[in-house]
Amino acid sequence: MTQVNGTVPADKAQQNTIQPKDNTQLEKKQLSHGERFTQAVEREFSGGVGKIELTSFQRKLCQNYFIKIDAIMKDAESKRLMKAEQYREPLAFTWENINLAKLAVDVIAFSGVGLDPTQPNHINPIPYKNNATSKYDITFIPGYKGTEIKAKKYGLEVPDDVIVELVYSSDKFKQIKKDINNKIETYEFEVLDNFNRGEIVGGFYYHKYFDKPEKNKIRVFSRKDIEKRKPDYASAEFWGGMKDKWEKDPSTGRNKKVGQVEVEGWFDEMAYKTIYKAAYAAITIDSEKIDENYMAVIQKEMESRDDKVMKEINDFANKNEIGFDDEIPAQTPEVIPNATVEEKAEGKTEELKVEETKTGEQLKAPFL
Amino acid sequence: MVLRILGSNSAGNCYILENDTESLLIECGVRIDAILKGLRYNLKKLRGCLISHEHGDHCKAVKDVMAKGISVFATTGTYKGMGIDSSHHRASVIQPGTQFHVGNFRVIPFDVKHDAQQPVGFLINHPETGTVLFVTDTYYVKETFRGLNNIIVECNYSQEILDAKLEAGATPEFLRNRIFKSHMNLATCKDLLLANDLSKVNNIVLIHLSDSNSNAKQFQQEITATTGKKVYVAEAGLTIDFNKQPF
Repeated sequence: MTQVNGTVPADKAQQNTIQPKDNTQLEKKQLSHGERFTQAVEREFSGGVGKIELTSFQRKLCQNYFIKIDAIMKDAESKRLMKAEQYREPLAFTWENINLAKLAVDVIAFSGVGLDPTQPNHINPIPYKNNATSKYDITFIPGYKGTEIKAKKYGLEVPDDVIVELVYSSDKFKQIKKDINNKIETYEFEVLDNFNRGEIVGGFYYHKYFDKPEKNKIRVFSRKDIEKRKPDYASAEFWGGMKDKWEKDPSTGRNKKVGQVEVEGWFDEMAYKTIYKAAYAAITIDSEKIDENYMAVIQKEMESRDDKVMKEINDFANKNEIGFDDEIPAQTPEVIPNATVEEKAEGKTEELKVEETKTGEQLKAPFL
Repeated sequence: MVLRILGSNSAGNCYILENDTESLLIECGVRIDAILKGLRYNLKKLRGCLISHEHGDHCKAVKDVMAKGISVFATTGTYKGMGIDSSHHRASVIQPGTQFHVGNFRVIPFDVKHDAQQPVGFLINHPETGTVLFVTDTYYVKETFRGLNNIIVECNYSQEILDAKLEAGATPEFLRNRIFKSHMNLATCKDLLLANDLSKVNNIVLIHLSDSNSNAKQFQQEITATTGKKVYVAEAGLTIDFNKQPF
């Protein structure tokens, strides 16, 4: 965007610089980090899998992936640097140390489904060091809301309503299974004491189909079932439980483990999210729906692009004549010089100076 | 003068214009040993190598070519794309629209439309061949060309074949879109030829046919019917008399 008159905010002024070059290139817009990331993702994806056209929404999401991953890496790096050197992971949490090819594939896949890492519980990028490559692989863990979005958008048979409840020790709960006398699977659930419900004993989800109640489905989770889904290295701050207690040792001046302390955590929240996620994860995803949705966008873009290309060809092809003004007679071969565009000094060595370039970007055969 | 074709598809492109006393390499997208063999190991009469753009099927052997002491002619963008320092003593930087000499060959590079950094086509003039148009990897050409005697032109795909393959699921859409905006189809190739004065043209060589979206026989027949000229479909090993005079 060209600012003609008036004041320009400092941050905008940095983004939009006008660089007169020649008559054909009057201005050049500086790309933001997010836009450069999007381009890198496209480039990496193209190099590894094949060229892809991103929708404008996907481009926006790609920038959000950059924002989130960048913040996570910076946070992880500052935590890494806080550690004493002998205990510190030598590999820095920087963009250079990320396996970009893998990241590109994942970002394209998850942004295609519409998951936004900047929204709570959509999807969580987590860096893991891959010792085989000495790079960080960014692993994406879909959150419970992300699982819901995916199921609702692309589910084969999405229930009209999904009910998720935790059951406490004072609640009254009865599951009613489908059988020869009962065509509809259902349950009875009553909270007897709202403000003193006791311990969590389990939970359930219920898929409800308004027009086809015979398809309704209930799944009950015992507390053990819920805890089975707790991650191996779950934080005690979230799930509750025992946590190491550290205190400063006056003799060494360093922290020392002095035992364990119980943390209450947010078990009820975590248990609810676990069942909620299971409720939507149980909905079968129709890959064709994803494909159809994607193909519809692509088809639209393709048609408009075809029209643009045809118009460009009609408008500009075969217009300006060029040629040689005269013809020169053949010279005697013995006096023919070699290169004459820019006479280069003859060197004895034939060793090439090759500019440092990113592997895979150069000398790449087109995928034809 | 003859035109030798060492490769003309996405696996590799390389062409040699050659007479008894001098030769010109156009593209070096095949292995260096194939190039040396194609040149009959005679580097003494080789005047240089023109490279249209940085894709590997057009410049695979560029480092070997330069290492053999052969001068390379390419645009700044192409050198950048190839990862080669353009200040290298074997690297000559060319500008679209600016004529240069390579031995007895006069060359005018011109811009083409391809997904590369600074791709060009070449209008080449030599007393024996007359004016030769070399154009590849572009979905159209802005220019028309004066005084053509021989034409080497890309005819990559047929729109009908491409769309039929897309519909059948044989060609992925991303590939179809890329081809559409980076390579020349049969219809555009015909338009290009008809937009030029073909009265003195002796040979039309169709190059860089897609492996899966073209039909060599059909292309040859249609271009022959359109132009009334002698039309060849390039394939490795083919040698064609390439002179200004028809015989």
